[in-house]
Amino acid sequence: MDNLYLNCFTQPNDFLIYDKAYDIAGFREKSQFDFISNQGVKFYWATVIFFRKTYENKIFFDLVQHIQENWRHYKRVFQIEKNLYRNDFVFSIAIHIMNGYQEGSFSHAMPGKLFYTTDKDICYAFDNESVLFLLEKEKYVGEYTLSRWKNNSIHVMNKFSYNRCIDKVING
Amino acid sequence: MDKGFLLYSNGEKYLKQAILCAMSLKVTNKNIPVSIITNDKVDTNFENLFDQIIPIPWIDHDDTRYDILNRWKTYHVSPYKYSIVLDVDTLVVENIDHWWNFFKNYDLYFLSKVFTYRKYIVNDNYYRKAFVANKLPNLYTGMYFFQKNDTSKEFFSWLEIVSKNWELFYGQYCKEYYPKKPSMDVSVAIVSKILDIDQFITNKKINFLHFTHMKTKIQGWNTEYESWQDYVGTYLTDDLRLIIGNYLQSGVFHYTEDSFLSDTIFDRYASFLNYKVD
Repeated sequence: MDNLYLNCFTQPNDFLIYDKAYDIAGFREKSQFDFISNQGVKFYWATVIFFRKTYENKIFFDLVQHIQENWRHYKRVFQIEKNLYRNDFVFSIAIHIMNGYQEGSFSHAMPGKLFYTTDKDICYAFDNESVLFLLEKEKYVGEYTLSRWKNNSIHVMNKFSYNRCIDKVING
Repeated sequence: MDKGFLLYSNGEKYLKQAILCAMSLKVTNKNIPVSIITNDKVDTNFENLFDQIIPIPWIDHDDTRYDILNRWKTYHVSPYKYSIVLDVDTLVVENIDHWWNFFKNYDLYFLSKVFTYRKYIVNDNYYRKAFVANKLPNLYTGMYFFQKNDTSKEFFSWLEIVSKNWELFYGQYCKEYYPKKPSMDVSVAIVSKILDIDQFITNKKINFLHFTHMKTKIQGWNTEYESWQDYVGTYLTDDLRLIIGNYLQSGVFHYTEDSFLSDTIFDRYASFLNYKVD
């Protein structure tokens, strides 16, 4: 909902990804997004990435495919306890390997900040400029605060409510 | 002699750790001599790892429970003008030649920052409650540097006094969370506070001295077990690169748990350096 990502094309790095994201509700525990597991490697968000077609990035995407095809093995080696398969996990592992199993410079940060709402929130409506959310309250499960998000891109995790909004737009 | 590493060891278990540490230094920092301060007999197979084998001098205190009380002697017996002292339960897993250049800006230098195995700066005060509560400088002695000069001599003279009268000094400077036994870290922090020199013997701004401290509760985990080895795997490659929980280690690795020193790890280092293990 903004043109922030155009900056990707004028910067010199070949691979950009977010390693931090911000819950617009503001109060929820987010340490699960620091690392892919309690003992695991750094978490990266595969939500939005930028890449150029380079030899190194070809290796990276081949590695992503390899990890995906051998997920049970990598899940065990990288100590992921959840049964959920996430692209975020696969990309995080691949970046860690590309960096030689340490902090490194394979990836760089996407411009701006990545904002998100969780699957506990409801995407209620959207238009060209803004999205209307119902954000679940901190201590009142099932109660919500109305919030309008304007002129900023956002990652919506509640795909069911998002799809309902899309249907509304398409079907009028 | 100009510079060298010093290891202090008293007891069979620590001697084996010291030999492993010396082997790690031979692999990564082979041009710098290593001396050991010990009263134990070093296996003849490994004697040539060491530049000098120095007896622990002046064993005169009655309390043999706390060998830590002898550590102040390190300064006085060091054969080097510039010394880096390492705890024996460490492995030096990369070349640290450039650290010497940095240390030479200081009379003595203690770490005030340590890292997790994932190379994050440790901010958790779980093991440092006494330091926080008593406003002691947050210094670590798992690795430290000194050069022989008047400032260092004065520091270690004070360390001798604090070590020999630790209950008195801890009662004065470390009343909160009073330690059950003497600690080199606490003693050094007290001396630093007495001399008011902590700003001259450490540097809180620099991050390149990678000293990984493997105490379990400071790794950033939701912890349940006591041993870090219950959480993450250890992998030592044939060319002696150390990987802990999928992280390649760098700098100095302080493993802290005796059980880390397996025959596999010891033999791999010995074999790499062509030492015979009986």
